[in-house]
Parts: sequence; structure tokens; C-alpha cells
Amino acid sequence: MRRLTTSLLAAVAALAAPVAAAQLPSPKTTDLGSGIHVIFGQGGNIGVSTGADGAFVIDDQYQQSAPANLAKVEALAGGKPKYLVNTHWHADHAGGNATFAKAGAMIFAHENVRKRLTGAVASLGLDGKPSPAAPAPAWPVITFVDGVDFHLNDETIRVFHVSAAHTDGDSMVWFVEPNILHMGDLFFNGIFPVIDLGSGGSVRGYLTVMKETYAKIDDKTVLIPGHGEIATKADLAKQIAMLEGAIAAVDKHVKRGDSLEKTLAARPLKPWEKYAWTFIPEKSFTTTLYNGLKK
Amino acid sequence: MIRIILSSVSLLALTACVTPTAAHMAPDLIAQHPPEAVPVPPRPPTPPPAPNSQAFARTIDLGSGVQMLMGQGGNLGLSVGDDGVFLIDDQYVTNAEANLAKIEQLAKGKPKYLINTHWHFDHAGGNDVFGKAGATIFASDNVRKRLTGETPSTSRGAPAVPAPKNALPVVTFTTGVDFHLNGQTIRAIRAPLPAHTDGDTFIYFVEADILHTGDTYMKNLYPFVDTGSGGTQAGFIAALTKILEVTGPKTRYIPGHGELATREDIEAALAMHKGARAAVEALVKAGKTLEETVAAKPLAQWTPRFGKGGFINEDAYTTVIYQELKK
Repeated sequence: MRRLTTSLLAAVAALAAPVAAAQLPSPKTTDLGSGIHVIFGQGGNIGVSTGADGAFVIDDQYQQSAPANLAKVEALAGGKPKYLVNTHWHADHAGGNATFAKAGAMIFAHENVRKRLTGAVASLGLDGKPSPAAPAPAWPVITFVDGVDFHLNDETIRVFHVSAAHTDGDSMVWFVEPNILHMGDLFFNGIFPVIDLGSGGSVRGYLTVMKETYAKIDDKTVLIPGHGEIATKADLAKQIAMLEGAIAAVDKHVKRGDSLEKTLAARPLKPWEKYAWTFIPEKSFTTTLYNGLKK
Repeated sequence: MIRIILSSVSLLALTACVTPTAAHMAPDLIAQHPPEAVPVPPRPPTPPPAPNSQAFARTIDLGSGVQMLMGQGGNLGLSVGDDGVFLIDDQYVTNAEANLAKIEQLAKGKPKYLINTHWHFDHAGGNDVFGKAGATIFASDNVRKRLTGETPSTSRGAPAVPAPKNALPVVTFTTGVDFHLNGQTIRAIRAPLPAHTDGDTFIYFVEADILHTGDTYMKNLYPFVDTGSGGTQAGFIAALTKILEVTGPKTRYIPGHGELATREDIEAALAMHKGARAAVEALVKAGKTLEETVAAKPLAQWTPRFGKGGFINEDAYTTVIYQELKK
């Protein structure tokens, strides 16, 4: 997620630290078969494809945890990462870019990821201040508008951009033959999502993309969420129901012309309070929905 | 195809543009599989030599670390700098080793990124050698489909043989990708419609203002519309229109074949394609047969500039346009 909107915890230190260690799974690795593994750690879930053609990696968590994650990737793949895709620009997903690039990884991302990492487009926190640019080695070398396909390790790996949702540079990664989809931060499994309005994200866009994804997958699809445990289509359905209900509940207040304070006081998200977590408590998510819907 | 330009009409060269297997075939064998869509030009008295093992002969430094490399087969584009060696096309399988060695010497390193403008073996024939040397190969989705044989290419009698694994593009795209390398934005742009083939890409070095056209443009030549690889004449109009749209008055153009070109060259080619289509269309609408249309020489006004070299003569281009309009 980011230094940005959640300046509840705005301290940069909070970013660097295992922010939600209590809620998120402790570091571990899961083998999904077909040479595909997931590394669960401090930030976003890392996807790894291993095989004869080289290691392909999805996201790289925080800068601080990058050396440990790089070592994990090397252990799983028996070699250094060759290709790396960022699902979006946030520091808990792309923070390790420089470390992985120095190890030889070719970094791919949507063009808006690069624009936000270089600082060409400002990414604003709730305080209205832009996030600092990342160092040059962290910038994606190859960018796309709609997506690219990798033909590696006997698989088709389809990277595709989705319309503005979590940020304006989100991509998902689909391992076509084994039917495994890494959703990036379009899926926070069982917890309130981050919708980063300061990076071009959109509340209604987020719900739209979730629904589009639901329509595209089948009951056998294995979902790797940006955060949380491996999931199924049924888990995604629950998350969609939560978001749809939460949006409707807050939108009632927005349509009535209630102030943010009045809306917060009414606790419209109470029915979903179990989705609250350290990084996105109920009040924070209510505020995001209110601000996003008011636009 | 530089050889083609130099050696005028040549069946071998015509085939060399199309089938990966043709390089290994004797001219006589190839002559048994004449193209169906294009009238067969007269066979030259002495067939030109098959592609040999010689590396590209000329290196033209265009500044900003960008070079144009000319030899047999398509023109190569090269970007050299701190971030690694970036290469556009790789000519024939027969001269790939020599090209690789010469590029390594020029660039002080092996190519890291290689992009194919299209699948033909005078442009992508060296893929296997460059892939084995560590280059990651990029191309449009249809280039890979034609190299694997997933989409059959029917332009010539000989079926396309699936290319070896290392020759296949590893990263494919539908509309394009941008490389941010060596101080340049290198923009690979998919042609809006199938033109030379159904997988054409042109590559624009934005800051250096240099565009490699692939075979959507061959300097001062009638185009080769490879209908057996999904090519269309309308696609040439769309491709050159797009190229003019994304580039500027001072842009330098590396053609698929031939010498470095200017905006005036591209504009003239676009005007020729549009004019040729309109002229043939008038005859189609008047109910003329193919024979009558070819005999009427509708392309006469463009032939002094575009019909004096290469292997697609006025009649061949007239025929392709006629057949496309009749579809």
C-alpha cells in the first residue's frame, strides 16, 4: 500500500516495518504446481514461475526485505530472476526493484508505474504532498499500455492492464495453462482494500474491475491476491459483496449531502467491521469510500 | 533483400522474403513453387547467390548511440549504451554468427534485447543464434504464431517449418511496448492493420528521432504485400499514415531495405499507395478483368520512382491491389 493515503500511519517507518504483521501471514512459501510458487512476506504476495527458461517474478515487496526475497527466489528457481513484473508502483510491491534489477532482472510494468516511480506523475498522499521519486535502477525498463505475453517455462504468462482501480497503473498476471491469476492489489483477501485516490485509483473502478475479473475466471482458477491467503472464485465473490455493500452504505450519506464527519459518526461500514485491519481500519476505509464517491 | 535491390528481379530473392526454408533450397526447387497471387517475373539468366555467411558490410552511425547496419537481408537497427545492446532484426540464419560477432565488437557486448519487425527469414532468420547468445526476443503476437506454425503461412509452396525454440519471441505484444534504454525511449508500434504481413511492427527512437519502418517501407520500391502472411495493401496506407503521424519533419527513417530515408520519401510512398489503389479501383469499378487492368498500366506515373528496382514490378503491384479490391 503506501506512504500515501493512509497517513493514519503516515510515518515512513510504518511502511518499512512489517506494518500489519499481526494480520498478514508470516513469511512462507506455497507451491502451486506447474513450477509456480508464492512467497508470502511483509508486503504484497510475490509470484514466481520457475523452469528451464529462467525465473519470472511478480512484485518484490519492500526495499528492506528485497535481499531476503531475492534469496528466496534464487532458492526456488535455482538461479537469478530474469524477468520481473510490477503489478503497480507501491513500495510494498515494487520497493525491491533496484535490488532485483541489480541481480539482472528485466523489469516490466504499465507505463503509469514508471511515470510514478520516476516522479513524472506525482503520487499524492492525504497531506497533498507528492511521494519522492524512486532511484533510477528501480524504474521499469520495458513499459506497456495494454499488456504483454511471456512465453516461458512451457507457459503463457499474460500480463494485462486494467482500468483505474487500486491505482492508475494496475496489472494482473495470468498463468494461462495452469489457470493461476495474480490479481495484484485488486484483491485484499478478507480485509478492506486500499484504494489509492492519490495515485489515480477509483472506488467505482475498483469494484468494476473486480466484477470483470470474476466474470473472466472459472471455479478452478487459483487466485493469488495482492494481500492475504490464496483464494478461489468463491472468496472473490465474498469480497465483491463486501465492497458493493460498503459502497452503497457510504454512497447513501454522500447522496444525502452528509459531511465526512457525520458519515464517519454513523459508522456505515459496521456490518463489515471484521474486514478492518491495522493498516486500513474501518474509519480509514469509510473515508476513502466517501472521498472517492464524492468526486 | 538488399541483394534483391541490387540484382533486380529474382525469383530466389522473392522467395527469400517469405519462407524460412527457402535459404536452404536450390533456386530450381524454388522455381517449382511460383507464387499464386503475383505474376511470375521472368527468370534471370543467372540466379543470384543464396544468402551467404558474410556479416553486414556497412555501419552508418546516426548519433545518440543508434546505428543502421546494412548487408544482405533487412536493415538492422542498433542502440548501444550503458543499459545494454538493443537490436532490431537479425537477417538470415546463414550470416547470424558473423553478424553476432561483428555486433559484439561494435557494441562491446552481446545483444540483450532483440525485436523482430516481422517474421520473414531475411529479418528474423538469425533469431536462434541471437536467442542462444542470451538475447530476449520481442515481437508482435503474430510473429510468434507464424514462427511456431500455429498460423500457417501459405505464400509459397513450401510449408513454414516451426522455428527452433530459441528462435521464438519470448515476449509478445498486441499494440506495442516501450523500452527505456541508453537514454532513449524506444517505442515499438504495431502497424494498425496487416501490411507487409499481419505482424508488422515499426520502432521509433523518440529522442534520437529515428524510425525503423520494417518492411512497411522499402526505399523507392513498390511494396511486397505478402498475402500469404496476412498482408494487405490497405495496411501499407495505414502503416505509413501512422508513421507520419508519430514522427516529425526531421525524422530519419531506416527502411526495411534500402538507404536511409526522409519524410519526403515516406510521404511520396504513401501518395503512391493511395494513388495506385484509386487508379486500380477505377478499373475494377468499370468492370475490367485482371488482364485488362494490368494492360491498362494504371501505375505508370509512379513506376519511374518505385518500379525501377526490386522484385515487385508495376504489374505485380497492380495485380495485388486488384485482387484485394475484388475480395
